[in-house]
Parts: sequence; structure tokens; C-alpha cells
Amino acid sequence: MVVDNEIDVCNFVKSFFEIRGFEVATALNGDDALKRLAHEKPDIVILDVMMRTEDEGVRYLPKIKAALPSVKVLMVTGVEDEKVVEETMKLGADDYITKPLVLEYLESTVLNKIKNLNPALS
Amino acid sequence: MIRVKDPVTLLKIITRFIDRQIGATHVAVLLYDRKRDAYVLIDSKGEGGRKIPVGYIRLPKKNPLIDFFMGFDNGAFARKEALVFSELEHIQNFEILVNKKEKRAGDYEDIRKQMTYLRASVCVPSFYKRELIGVLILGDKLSGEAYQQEEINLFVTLANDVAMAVKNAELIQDLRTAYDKEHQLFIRTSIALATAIDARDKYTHGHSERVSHYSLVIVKELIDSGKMEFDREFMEAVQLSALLHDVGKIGIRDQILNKPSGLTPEEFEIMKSHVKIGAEIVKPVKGLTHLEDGILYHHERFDGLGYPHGLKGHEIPLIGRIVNVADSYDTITTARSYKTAMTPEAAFKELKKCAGTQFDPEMVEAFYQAYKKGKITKREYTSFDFSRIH
Repeated sequence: MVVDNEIDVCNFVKSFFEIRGFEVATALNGDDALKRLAHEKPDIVILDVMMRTEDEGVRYLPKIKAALPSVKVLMVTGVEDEKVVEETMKLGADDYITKPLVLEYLESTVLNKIKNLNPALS
Repeated sequence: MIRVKDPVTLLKIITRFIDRQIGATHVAVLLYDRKRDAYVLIDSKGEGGRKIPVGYIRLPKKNPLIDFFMGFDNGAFARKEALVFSELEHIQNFEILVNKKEKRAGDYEDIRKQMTYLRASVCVPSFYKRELIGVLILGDKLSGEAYQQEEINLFVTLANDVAMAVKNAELIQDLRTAYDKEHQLFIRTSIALATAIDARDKYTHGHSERVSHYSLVIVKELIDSGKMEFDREFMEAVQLSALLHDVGKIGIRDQILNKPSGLTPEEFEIMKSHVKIGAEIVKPVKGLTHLEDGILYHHERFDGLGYPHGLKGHEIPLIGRIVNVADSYDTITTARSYKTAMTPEAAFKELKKCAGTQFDPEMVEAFYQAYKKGKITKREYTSFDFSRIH
């Protein structure tokens, strides 16, 4: 599931992974993501740190983890900010990636995080 | 060639133009970012959710698409023509590349993949000489038609104009950075020099920096009151000239400079030479006219009885008349071996008394007005406030 307040990002990342045979859901904010989590049951959430507020992603990270403990969360940050990274890792993020991102790196990170869940993908 | 101040503006104009005129699903521009050493998507237009989000992705130099355009041997075999998705299979020379560099065997599929990610129908490289400045990305035409060769030729022309504009802006920026660096070094050197002079006399600690501050206060008041107009360079010359007004004291013996009691006429003559010595010291500094003025003429008197030349009234260069007032004010308001410090009020009384004889009355008046407005900072200068220069 891609969570980003920019619809262009949601669409772009969605189609990038769909070409690779993934099923991808999108959400435009933290509440939206929480609502859809139970139904979609994603393996991984690609969660943008800055949405309606500059730490919305960070605030929703524990909620997402609590709602679906098995889910992997990959944080996307706008700037290489050690404090934010440290905080998100402490809150249970599985990894993070900095914008502007390299698509191949996004792909390999996602694959790496979920390969244990779905052996067919690896 | 197109000339614009900001190349990004030009890029935006071009993407908008293509978006409107051609009617593509989306148009995007990748531009080389020196800081990240990668190609970053800086502008994007598109309809129906096909737009690539700006700032979201970057292509490192080793990205197959970038690598393809750059060719090998540092751009010597650059490919400056556009890459069209539907023609990928027919591109000639692919084999030449593969032969010359074996590890490129997978290029074709890699490039197809990259263009798919970017939803690109056409990729146009933007070259400046052998340097790949950026890549213009075009999605399919909304009409579903194929791009005409003439259209692609136009994109190539536009892309090269953009490269030129971007490169020019970069060069200007580089020059500016180099200039700023030199300039800062010069100012800091001047401050170091002024501090060295002040250090020779315990009573004049911080004197040069204060005189510089007061001189600027006078100039600003002259501007604010609408009496005079000055450019940036002149303001800077005033501050630096004031900062260095006593630089010539470096050539005066300690016995004379720090003599506790009065100087003999001979000693006074030697002391007076500091203005000429100072002027000689800064003479090699080229490019800042009037820098000498505050140094050579700050002991000239309005009535013509000063030194070194006995100039009178407006014969004395303006900076000399400004620094003269600023210098005297600081001397009056700070303690010396032979006297205690006077209050600003008493100091202004003194300055006014000598307006027209020792000082230019206009400068005294401007300084007094600024003082009444609270423009004179009373703080002790421990180090020169660099921000005041800029």
C-alpha cells in the first residue's frame, strides 16, 4: 500500500509496482490508510513522512503497526534527517528511503522486506 | 539561442509549450544535480494521473538510460539524438556499443525497462558539448499518433538550447561563488589587520571597528534623510576605509604611538605620517575606489588646517570627512591614558562646537540625527560584525 498525500506519487508508485505483478492499494493520508488496512491487508506499506503535517507519517506509523502487526513499513523521507530516521526506526519502521529516490532501490528494498512473506517472489 | 536568467524557468516554459502544443500524456524534465550527482526530475506536466511527481525520483549516472546517452569514454561517444520507444529495436549502433564495451550487452532490455518506468515514448538528451545536462521525457501523444520526425527534431533543438542556458547559469553561479569567497577573504583580512593595529594600543581596543560602525551610521543617515545617494560599492568602501583608517600606525614606533605624555613637534610629525603610510599600504588593493580616502584624509580639517594636504571644505573627499567625525566621536567617548570617557551627549556638544572648523557640519548633523534615532549601537565590539558589511 502506498500512502502519500500527493496523488501523482500514489499513481506513479502504484503503476511501477503493478507492472511487476504486485497488487497495489493507495491512501492519501494516515486515516485513510488505517481505514483500508484491515480490508487490504498489505504485506508492506510505503509511508511518506510528510503529508498533511510534516510528521504525519511518523505519527501514524505506530497506529499502522498496531492495526496490522505483520505489516512491513518502509518510510519515505524528504530530507536525510537523522533524527526523523532514528525516531521512525525506534517506532518500528522496517526501513527508510530518501527522496528523490532511485526506483531500482525502492524496488529492491520492497522485495527484500517481503521476500520472506511470499517465497514465490524471491 | 534562448537567453533567460533562470534556466529552470525556461525548462518550465518548454514543458508547458510541449504539453500544450503536442498534447502528450505527460512531459517531464530530468536535470543533472551536481550536489546529488544524479539526474533529478525537476518539472512534470501531465493529465489523467500520468504525471511523474516532481522531486520524487532521481536517476544516478549509472542508470542505463543516462549511461546510454553518455556513451562511453566520458561522453566522447555520446548519443545526441532522441530515443524513441517504438524504434528501440531498430536502433543501429547498438551492436557497436556492445562490441566496444562488453558489459553493455543487456542495454537494450534495460533501456526498454527505464522508458517503461518513466512511461516515456520519447527521451531527448540535452547536451552541452560532451556533457549530458538533462533529459526531456515525453509520454505518448494523446491522439495516439506517432511522433513525427520534425517534432523530434524540434525537441532536440529545444533540448540543446536548454543545455546552453543551464550551463551558462551554472557558470555564472560558479563565478559568483568564487567572487564571494575572495571577497570574504579580503574583508576578513582587513578585519585582522584592523585588529592588529588596535592591539598595539590597549586604549584603542575595538576602535577601528567602532569607527567603521559610526561611519556607516552617518552614510545611512545621509541616505535616509534624502541628502545623498550612494551605491553598494561606496557603502562598502566607507566601512572598509573606516576600518583601516589607522592602518598606517603599523609604521609608527611604539615609543611614539604609546607615549603617555605629549609628543614633541618632531614626534608629532612622525605620528602624522601614519595617514600617508596607511594610504601606501592599501594602494595595491585594486578594484575598490575610495578605499584610500578615509585613510589619507581622516585628519584633514574642514577649515583647511588639517593634514596631510591641508585640504579645505569639499576639497576633502567625502569618506575623509565622514571618518574624521566618526574617529573623533570614538576618541571622545572612550577613555585614554590622558582622559576619561565622555558621554555621547557631551561628545555631540563637542562635535557641534567644532562643526565648520574641524568637522564638516553636514556630517556632524547627520551623525547627531542618527544618534537621536537610536542608530548608534553602544555595544562593545569584540569581533567585527560581518553582517554589517553585507
